[in-house]
Amino acid sequence: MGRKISTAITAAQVKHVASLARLPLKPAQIGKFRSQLARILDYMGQIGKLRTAGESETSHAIGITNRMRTDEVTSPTRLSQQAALSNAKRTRDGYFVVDAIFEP
Amino acid sequence: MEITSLTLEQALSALKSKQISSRELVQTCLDRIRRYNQKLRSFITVRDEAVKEAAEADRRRKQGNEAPLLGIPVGIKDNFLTQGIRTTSASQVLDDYIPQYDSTVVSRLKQAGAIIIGKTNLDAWGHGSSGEHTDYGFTRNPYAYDRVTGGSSSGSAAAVAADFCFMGTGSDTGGSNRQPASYCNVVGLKPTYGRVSRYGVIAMASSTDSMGVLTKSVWDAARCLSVMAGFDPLDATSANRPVEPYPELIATKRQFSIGIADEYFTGLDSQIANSVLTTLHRLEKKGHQLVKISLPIVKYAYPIYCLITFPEISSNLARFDGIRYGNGRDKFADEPRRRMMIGVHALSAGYQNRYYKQAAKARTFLIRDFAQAFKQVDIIAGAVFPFPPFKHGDREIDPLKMYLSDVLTVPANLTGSPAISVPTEFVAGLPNGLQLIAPPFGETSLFQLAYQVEQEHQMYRVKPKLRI
Repeated sequence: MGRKISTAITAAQVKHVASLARLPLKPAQIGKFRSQLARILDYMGQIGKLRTAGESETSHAIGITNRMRTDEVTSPTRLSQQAALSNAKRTRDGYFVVDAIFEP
Repeated sequence: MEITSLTLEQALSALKSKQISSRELVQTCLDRIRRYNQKLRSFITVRDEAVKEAAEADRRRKQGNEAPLLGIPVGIKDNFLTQGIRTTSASQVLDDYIPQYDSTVVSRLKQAGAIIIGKTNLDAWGHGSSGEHTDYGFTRNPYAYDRVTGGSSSGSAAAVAADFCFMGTGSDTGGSNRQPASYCNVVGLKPTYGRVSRYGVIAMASSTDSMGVLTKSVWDAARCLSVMAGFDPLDATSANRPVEPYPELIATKRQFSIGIADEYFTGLDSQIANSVLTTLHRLEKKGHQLVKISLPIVKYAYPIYCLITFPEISSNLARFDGIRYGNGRDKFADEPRRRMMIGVHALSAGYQNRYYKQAAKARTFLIRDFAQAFKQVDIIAGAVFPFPPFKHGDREIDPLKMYLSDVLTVPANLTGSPAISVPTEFVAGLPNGLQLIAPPFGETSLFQLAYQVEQEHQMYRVKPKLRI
């Protein structure tokens, strides 16, 4: 590590990450985000200067290990069907309505 | 003296001695909010029902109930779920969302008798340190209406500073409790990661989010933490450690060794640097020891922070699909979009090693740096923001410039350390806080030293002049 990271980001890459992040972008926004993202990624690229070979990744800052519980429904986290549906814009017969993902 | 200008401690005492009723307290706060909040915009939702709840608190007190926050009106940052009370996270995506359950913090506050007077404004999703990234009108700094409050817990800081309530909850992922506290002359606490449950708070970055409070005084923060802290089976990262009786310990006079790192003074506005050093030298005169320490990885802390938290943000915000709740993803403003796109890019094939994994390894270095420093000193001290409160709009144009305001605060989040901002002398006529950082679960030390700083400066006496 120590080589400068190339951070030029193309319009195609912006469209790609927008699609991965499921964010609809208007064509006019692509140019704006491209230059903003490029600047930000350029700044962040300095992290490449750190020699991290063989170093462990931190996933938990203070080292608590996984804590398991028994697989059972408990009342504090239980929502009635009515409560679960209460904020949905589209419901039908007690179900959430989603856009079709298969051709009929 | 206006009852709204009391500290939480003083209000509790006045309630206990029957000098005032909770109903009177809440009504006076609501009147004050009605008068001044339109311009300040510290609240997104205000609850008139709070008066009825206050009357109920008065009844309970008459019957001998002595819950630790009984009858005290508080503000809840609008990314904490409150059952039956609209919760927007300051974003149009959740404009009409009514939670079906309380976050653990809120249920503990309610159990302790606190009255929710409203939901406070924030940078949407916690994304920001100025308070300007809200879809509900940016919160004005009560001490200077054309300047920012700092963020993301902007509304909580302003509401407490403006005497609208006696505490505001906050969530601190990269500085979001400490920064608005510094700019609004209030105390801002970021507890140790895992000290307070994250359950029911809209997740920003799951490995750094830390729930805390903004208050008028150090004792107030200690009292609130003692109510909020503790193991929660609903949060798998919640720490299973006993909660110390913080309010009883803050006045213990201890001498501390305080670490000063050059890395915390690089690029600092000279007036801020002078103010921090003056405060520290005053502490030295009182018997504390100032020790030079070295934190070489701190200069990379901000890129490390972005390359870990932006990916976590992209993952956490994926759930907002408009299907089960909320509106469509087209309603996300620019700032969350930027963060999600960078986050996704940093995790994507071909980039994950050089960005996300590199940052995760670098985080290990930073944690080691801090652990090393805490072998030499009890507390690390520095500024909160590298510059005084700026004018609204000044840093909007360049998102990178805005990001650099977090460089001093993100290390505590990455290392899981507790940290506090306590008000010290105004700089350039504007509020400014001293940041203190302790090792994990060192909240008692933070409170003890912050209390001494508070006794020395007494900045809680300096109230803003509100305008209609």
